[in-house]
Amino acid sequence: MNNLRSPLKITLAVWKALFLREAVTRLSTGRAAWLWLMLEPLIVIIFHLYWYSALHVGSMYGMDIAIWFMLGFSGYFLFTRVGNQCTNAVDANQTLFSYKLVKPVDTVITRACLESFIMTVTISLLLTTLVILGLPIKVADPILAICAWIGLGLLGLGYGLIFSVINELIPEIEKLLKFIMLPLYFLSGVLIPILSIPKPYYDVLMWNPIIHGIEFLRISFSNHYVVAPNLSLVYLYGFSLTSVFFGLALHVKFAKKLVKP
Amino acid sequence: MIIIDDIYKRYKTKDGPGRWILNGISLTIPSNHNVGIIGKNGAGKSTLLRLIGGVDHPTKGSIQRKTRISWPMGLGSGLQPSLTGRQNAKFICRIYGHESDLIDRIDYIQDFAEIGTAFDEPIRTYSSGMRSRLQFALSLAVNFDVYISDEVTAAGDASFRKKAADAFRNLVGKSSLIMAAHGESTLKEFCKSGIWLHEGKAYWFDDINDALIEYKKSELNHQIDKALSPKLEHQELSGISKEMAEVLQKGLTLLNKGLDGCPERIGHEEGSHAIMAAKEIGMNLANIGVIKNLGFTLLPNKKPLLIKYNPVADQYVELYDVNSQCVKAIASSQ
Repeated sequence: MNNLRSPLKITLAVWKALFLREAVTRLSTGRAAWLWLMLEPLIVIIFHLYWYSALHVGSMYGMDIAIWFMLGFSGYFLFTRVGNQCTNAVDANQTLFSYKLVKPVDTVITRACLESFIMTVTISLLLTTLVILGLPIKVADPILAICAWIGLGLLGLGYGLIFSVINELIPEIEKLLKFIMLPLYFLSGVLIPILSIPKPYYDVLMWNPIIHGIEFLRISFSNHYVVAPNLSLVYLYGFSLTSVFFGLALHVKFAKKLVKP
Repeated sequence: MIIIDDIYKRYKTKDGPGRWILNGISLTIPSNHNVGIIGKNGAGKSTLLRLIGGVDHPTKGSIQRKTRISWPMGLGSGLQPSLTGRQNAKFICRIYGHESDLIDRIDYIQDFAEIGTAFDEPIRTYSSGMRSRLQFALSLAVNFDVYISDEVTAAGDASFRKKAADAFRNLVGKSSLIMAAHGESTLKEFCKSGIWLHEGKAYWFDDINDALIEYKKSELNHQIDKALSPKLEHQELSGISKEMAEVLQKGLTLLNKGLDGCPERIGHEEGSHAIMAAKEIGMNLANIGVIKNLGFTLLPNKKPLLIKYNPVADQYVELYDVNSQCVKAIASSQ
């Protein structure tokens, strides 16, 4: 009775166990699952590179088109993968809640960590490949790169925390969300450079925090890339941290409702 | 110590909130005390165990537990179907902080579960017997102060049941047990006290035997009510004849007075009714050893249940429940 573990120790043990467990399922279910995780962004990038080069677009505002695409897609994938994995975390791990030490929020947080980890490994491998292929890649501002990367991950976590609760409480939202997420792809500056958007629409698009993350990621990789006006790291972090805290608050409030009997 | 403070529980159904399964329950379960939970199917035994184990939350009220309590062992989920037995075992050892001696614990689980090479196969390929073996081994591999067992001893084959029972015996002194079981002998063997769940309320009994008697009395009453009901289909379902029901009813009334501490003086025929009713609820009425005259109590610490007149010897006989632990103890000490 007197050797009860402290709450912090329990939580850390749970996170570690969940992380390893998630890693096993994520990387080992299906044939060569880990390979597909890496190949998916690569294929998407090569596909787009192909038709952009057919249009004779060689660079984008002072950055090589291949690197421009790679950074944009990686950043966007980081957000959506973390977001989607986190959103499904509670539902996928219902069996685990029969151990009262495991709380729904733990599964969301560990999934975010795992997914960011996988994406970080993926982008590192992609960058290395591009360097080997002879592309001139130089990280101009490594700290800014890390900041933008973490900001996008946090954005995914905030999104995941919020919708992991809302989807459980109101399942219909999930279908609606798919429609909303579809155009986000085009509105995040992944395919269409944000600088090519005319003025009134530009200001509206800048409300989207993903754009800030992706643009800063690109800026950090080049000294010559044209910096879009009104970019703000403060906005990116303000938005993502607010959504993380709001998501955590939802988890505290509805913790009991997330566990299905 | 586990303090259950005025808890209510109901589940959501398709048509809004369901009935109150637990309707205002307050209990204090002392440390190092084995407790059996008794009640008919649907009385809320599993629900109460899930609430105590922290798997589910009460609709109202609170449960305080300052000990390490297991999840409800036995039936239930908690195993990820796509992962192997070993992977599931590792996960559970990790969350309960057995990281340093992980290998020893995994070995123990593998030994105890005796599922052979299936330990490295995904759980979804397991039979239900293999699952319960693994689950039982998992809960024993983690150190808990209180183990919660929901019909564990009913699962698996004969050898597994024996193994489970042996494991429970080994826990004595180290940890305590809160269990629900259909088998009366299992409850009597492992539990000191009992909780009887009836119509959403819980009744605590210091002695498990008293809890069992109270439970069976309520079941018998129910049966008698059915047999005496004017509706024919109820009578057929009751399983006893109307005459029998009347006899048992009379017997029960006499027994109840005895249990309340005011034994009736009865004749021979009434006595046989009472003895029949007593048998139905698991009591065995008999006089102990010597026939005594009225006014002189054989067991000074225990009141007789009935005082029966014996016309042949023109004497009164005191009838006790000879199954009762208390009577056994007093009688053997004399």
